[in-house]
Amino acid sequence: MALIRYIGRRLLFVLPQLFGIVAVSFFLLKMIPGDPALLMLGPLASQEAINEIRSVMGLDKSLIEQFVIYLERVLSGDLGTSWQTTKPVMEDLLKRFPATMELVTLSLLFALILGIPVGILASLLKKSIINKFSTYYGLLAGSLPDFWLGLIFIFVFYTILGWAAAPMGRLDLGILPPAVVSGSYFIDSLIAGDWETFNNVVAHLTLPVLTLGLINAGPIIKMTQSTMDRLLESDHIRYARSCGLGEFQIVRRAFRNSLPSVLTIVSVLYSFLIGGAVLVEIVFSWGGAGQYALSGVLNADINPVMGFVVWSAVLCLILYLIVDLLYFAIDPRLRD
Amino acid sequence: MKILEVNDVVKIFKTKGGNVRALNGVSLDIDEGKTVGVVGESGSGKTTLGRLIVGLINPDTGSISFEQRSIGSKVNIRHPDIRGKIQLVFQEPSESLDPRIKVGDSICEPLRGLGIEKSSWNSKLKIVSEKVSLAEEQLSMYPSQLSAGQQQRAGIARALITDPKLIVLDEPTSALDPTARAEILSMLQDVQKEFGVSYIYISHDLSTVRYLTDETAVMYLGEIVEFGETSKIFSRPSHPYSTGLLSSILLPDPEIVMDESLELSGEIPSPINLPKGCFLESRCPISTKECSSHHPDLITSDDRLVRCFEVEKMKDIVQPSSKFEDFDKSFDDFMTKRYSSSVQAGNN
Amino acid sequence: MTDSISLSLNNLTVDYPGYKGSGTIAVKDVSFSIEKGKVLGLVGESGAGKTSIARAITRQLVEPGEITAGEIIFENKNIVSMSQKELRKYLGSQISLIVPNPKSELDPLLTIGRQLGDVVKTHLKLNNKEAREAVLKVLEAVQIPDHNSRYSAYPHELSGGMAQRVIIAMSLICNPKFVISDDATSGLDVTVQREIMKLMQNIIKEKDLSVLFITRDIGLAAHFCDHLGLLFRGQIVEIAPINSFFKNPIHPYSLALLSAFSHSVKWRKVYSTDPQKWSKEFFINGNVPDSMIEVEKGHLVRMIR
Repeated sequence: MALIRYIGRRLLFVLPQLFGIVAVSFFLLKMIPGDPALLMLGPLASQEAINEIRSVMGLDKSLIEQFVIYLERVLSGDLGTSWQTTKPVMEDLLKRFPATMELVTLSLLFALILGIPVGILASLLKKSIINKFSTYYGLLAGSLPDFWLGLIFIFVFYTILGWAAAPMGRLDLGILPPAVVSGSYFIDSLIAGDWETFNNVVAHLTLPVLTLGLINAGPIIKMTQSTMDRLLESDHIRYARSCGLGEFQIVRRAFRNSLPSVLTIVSVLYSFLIGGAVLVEIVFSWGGAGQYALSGVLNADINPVMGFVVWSAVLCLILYLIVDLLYFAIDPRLRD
Repeated sequence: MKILEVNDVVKIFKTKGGNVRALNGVSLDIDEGKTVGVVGESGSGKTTLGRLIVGLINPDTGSISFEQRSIGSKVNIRHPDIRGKIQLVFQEPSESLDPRIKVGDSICEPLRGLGIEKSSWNSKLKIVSEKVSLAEEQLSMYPSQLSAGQQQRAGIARALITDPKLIVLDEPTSALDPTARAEILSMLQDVQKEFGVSYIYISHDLSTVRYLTDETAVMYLGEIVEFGETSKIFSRPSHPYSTGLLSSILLPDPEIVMDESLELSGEIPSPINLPKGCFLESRCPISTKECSSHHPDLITSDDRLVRCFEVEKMKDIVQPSSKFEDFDKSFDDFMTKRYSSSVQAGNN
Repeated sequence: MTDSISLSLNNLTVDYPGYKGSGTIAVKDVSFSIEKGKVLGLVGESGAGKTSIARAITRQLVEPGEITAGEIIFENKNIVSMSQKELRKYLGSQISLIVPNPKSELDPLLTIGRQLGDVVKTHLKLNNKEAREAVLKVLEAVQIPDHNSRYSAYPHELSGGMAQRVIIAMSLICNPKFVISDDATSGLDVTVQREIMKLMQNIIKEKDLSVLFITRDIGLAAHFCDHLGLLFRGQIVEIAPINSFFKNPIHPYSLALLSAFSHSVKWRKVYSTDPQKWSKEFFINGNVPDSMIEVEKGHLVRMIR
């Protein structure tokens, strides 16, 4: 009951938070120099044509008026039109966000599967190779740019060895996407039971997921290792040891206690990667949301950028709510 | 002359779980050059009382006056007229000193706020550090290089340097080992003799209260349950709670067994939902019906103030005891004998 | 003779090599034995090596601490040379530990019942139902009111006194033979301490436990122990049956400690904790002597004649 009230209270704050995010990013974007009308029509366009476009786009109105108009449209679910794709931004993002989320989620899952065991082992076996490995890995993952690793992977596994699928999007050209349920090809092809498509999806996912996963496993290893280090030295774990509990139980208790920290780093990485995966998306021509927003920024196409901001804000707020609920599930002290 | 008068102060902290009634009408006076002990267990409100007196927090109702002058919300410890006259010594010496500032500089810190010229700082520092027996080289060390006892000496020196009239000692020895604790206490006594400063000594350690204080206020759940001369309370407590506390003291002599005529059970109730009647009712072995329905007032009984309906009955139950004196005496006798024989042995 | 001894330390030395520059010997050449059903009090101030001894017996020394010499004999087995696996069979079942600050010693994320249950399940191989019964029984034995609902309480929901009872329950649940109490009541209020001590006293008598009772409060030790050892800078300076010690304390450190409790200014100025001020039979060439002298039966003092 207290939980439902908590969620309710959190949701109450979502609207003002969203308003703040939209307002700040709207006015900041408007400060970027560059006239969309001029960019659309090219340098040779007549002043009249430019003025006409400007009034059609509402650019001749004051900033506040433009903002109010924008807000009204957002509230009715209309994020405007991108002049580059000439499609409604909502429609574009509905295609592109699932692509990004699919990539980011699978990458982080991979990073967790790699990072947590390595972190735990590195903490348990202080003098082992795995401990050294984890130290160097952390350094390396922190210093390598992800897009560079992506390029190397493409060069090695696609160009030289020819094992990987072409870095040209989410599916081979000849294969039709599965029927849309979630938007994620990975899930949708499974639902459709279409194994040929599924295999192709996995083939295309492998390299980008490896790239992002390997890079982001670094902080996860570090966080797991350092919290496990702290916990294995903590009073209650030492006490559990002196009660004669087995090593497996000890590690399980210590890991359970380190879950909140791991969760924190994962939530930070997740919200960062929604936009931060853009370079990897470009390298693999992924067609994700970050890529879409970037081209909007470069071409003074404000609607895609704003649309991206609204979407990622909503996603992050949902993400943080889920994370908070997970904290509650893990730690009884927070439940009161 | 009264230096501090605390009059019926009430302090309620609003928390998520409800209103914590930390102090429920506490009155206390202190004479110049005297020491009043405030004892009680955790949750009794003794630390809140100390903080109120130094002005770290303000009372909800009630008043505090220092040297006949009302202090509180507007005129508090930071007021120019009062600044430096009331000082506080904290419980954790290691945490109350800035780890990155040399001990001597920490001790001088309060002088800055008083606008005292830097040229006179050194002479003042010299006087107080001598008083608390800190060597000159220790003043140029960092707190982590000192023992806990020495850190607490620095904390006391910092309080003394402004020449205060009143020092609130909030459990100054509870983090210390017994021998360091004893040294600090006798130092505090010497300081009082020399400077005539008044102390409020807040502690849960009754044996140190007996040693240092002239009068004792026993607190339970935000109110004083017994107040009187320390020696009288210790030889014959009148309130069941004081009795329970005192009988829990264990003296280092297996032959001095503690009086078990009155034993408290259970633990202190939550200060959020205070009982309607006497706050001790649930733990008290002699409670009656009246105790659960009515709240007793602090009344005068012979030589002290007691908050108990059964104060007459207590006189029958609790017999005067001299166990503390007995212990001191037998220890002194033993030591005298031992010392004279060892001196003789040394001469041989 | 050995049959009547529950646990004995023979010349135990614990070292923290490389700690703060040169190695620090935390425990030096400590020997004592505890008879079955008896309580040995070990009194010392901070840094005297009390906790190092407790952790040495359970082999839980904090890095880089290690046992560099000596043996710990429990029921004719040397704990020092045991494998971790063998040791684990003893810890929590035959030898158990009562610790201070119970709230930080319990896992904050697991219920009381679960934590107690894990210990019985590990050692006595009970199933869930049997474990639950055992837990409820021991919670009742340590007089936790309303123990059925406390079973599913989390540590943060307990008061300090209750949490201390849970720790005691944890130490008793497998019916140990030997219990180490490491400053067990130091964080508690005096009236609560008194109740806890009473409880422990009853349980010790009832179960005929042997106890190593570590404390910095010699007053507490005086009323609770059969024997008393005083630790000073990692060494025992005086050890004796309780009555013999209090009738005739000899070592200057013992006298200094007692003076601290009597608040006798006079004697505190005579007997100091600074060994430089001790007379030469107790402190020679900057060190305490290596040998102990038996002044009465079982009453040993570190001195030379």
